[in-house]
Amino acid sequence: MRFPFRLLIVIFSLTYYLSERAGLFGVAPFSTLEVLYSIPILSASVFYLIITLITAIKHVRTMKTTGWMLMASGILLIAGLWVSYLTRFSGEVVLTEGQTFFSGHNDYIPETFYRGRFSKVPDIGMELEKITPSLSDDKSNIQGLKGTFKLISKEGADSRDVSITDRLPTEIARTLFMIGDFGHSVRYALKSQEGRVLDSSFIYMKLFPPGSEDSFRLLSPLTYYVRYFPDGDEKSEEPRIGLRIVRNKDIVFNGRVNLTENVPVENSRISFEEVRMWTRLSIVHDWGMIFAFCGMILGLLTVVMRAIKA
Amino acid sequence: MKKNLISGAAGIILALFVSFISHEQGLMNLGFHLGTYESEKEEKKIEDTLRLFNRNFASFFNTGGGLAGLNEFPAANMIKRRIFQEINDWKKNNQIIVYDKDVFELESIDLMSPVSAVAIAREVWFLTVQDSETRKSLSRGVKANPVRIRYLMKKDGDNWRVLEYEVFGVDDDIPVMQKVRL
Repeated sequence: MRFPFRLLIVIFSLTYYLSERAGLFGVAPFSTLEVLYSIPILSASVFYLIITLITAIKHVRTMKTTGWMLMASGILLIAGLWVSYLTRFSGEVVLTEGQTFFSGHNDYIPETFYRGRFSKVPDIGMELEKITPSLSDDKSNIQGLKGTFKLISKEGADSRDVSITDRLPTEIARTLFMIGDFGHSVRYALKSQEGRVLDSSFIYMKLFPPGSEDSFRLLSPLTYYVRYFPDGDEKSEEPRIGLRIVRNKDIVFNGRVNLTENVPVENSRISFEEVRMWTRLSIVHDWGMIFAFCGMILGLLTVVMRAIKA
Repeated sequence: MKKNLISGAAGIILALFVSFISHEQGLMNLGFHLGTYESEKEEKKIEDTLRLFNRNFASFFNTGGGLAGLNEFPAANMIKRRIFQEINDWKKNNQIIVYDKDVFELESIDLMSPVSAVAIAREVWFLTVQDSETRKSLSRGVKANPVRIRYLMKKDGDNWRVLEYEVFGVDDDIPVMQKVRL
């Protein structure tokens, strides 16, 4: 009866995982981490471990090599889950070219941030120097991304360049880094009637592919809707900004402007001074992945050995 | 073999049961995914909500910030804040802006999930700036403001409310909505 009980736990875990990832009963699907670190999965892993250990103790003399291997594989997978749950540090942050990043800061995108109870915050600093996207022929899809970063050491010396891509994670100081997604950050400048800059800042926006629109607001009730055409439009080959300024339901400006061109708005002017690229940097520091990886390899090896013997 | 089959079936049933009870209104969500959701009823509710939204929206401006209807105004706080911020901006100059609705036509309603929807409406508003005391028009004429508006709606309990709205010109193409907004 013991083996079917372990099977029950495995089937339960797989079904629960698939149900939550598909969002069968939820409003939206949960992320992989949310499901793996949920109480049902963690509880099931503990039950599985207890049953496995009881079985091992009872059959210590009669168990075959592949039996031991399968048991060790299960224990490694469960250990990986729990080590990950307790010590993982992961998150994603949006970085614009020229922006500096320190792993201990608090600007991670909230829904991507996870910090286990016993996690250690990696101590890594880097500056995003350049993003090089590979685009499809019609420039509407990203085929690959490469980010050039400059590592910053505490002492300020020994800085070196590293490349991080969207294909395989790059390991730096036992932490995995990857980039994904890409867009444009526009730097607006809000000026007085006399041309004095009152406020200026980069805002990262989803403006890729050209024609995509995003918006931002400052302190006034105005909403600025922006589109970016890096190769210009029918009127100019220079980069152009599609701008629509709306005050509640009143469209106060709707047109295309060049970079640095001033647009009068209420008692001030707004212009877009420069456009840079941004990307999403993901950072993962998780020892549990090593346990889980070893468990998976051992499990596969066991299955292969059993198949050969059969 | 029979034991294994029973064990597997029990695992599936138990997992689905745990998944079901761990979500509020799991049955309604499942119904939505399976296409048995009462979408027509919800679409009617959304349309009623938008009509109430526009009625209150115009009323706030036309009364120079009167608070009547604020409690029933089906909008997120950020929208309320923007409305009253603008009203106060006009007030500083002893002016009010009057929103007079001429057209409201719903183009589409898309239920994104059981609790979120996107509605696109074609609207025409006539805008005039008036002296707040004499109510005399300070505009050269009436500004006709034809717009297309994409409303992002959220359902709280049994009621829908406007979480955010985007305003487009009538000739503007409406870009694909970014998922992050909902």
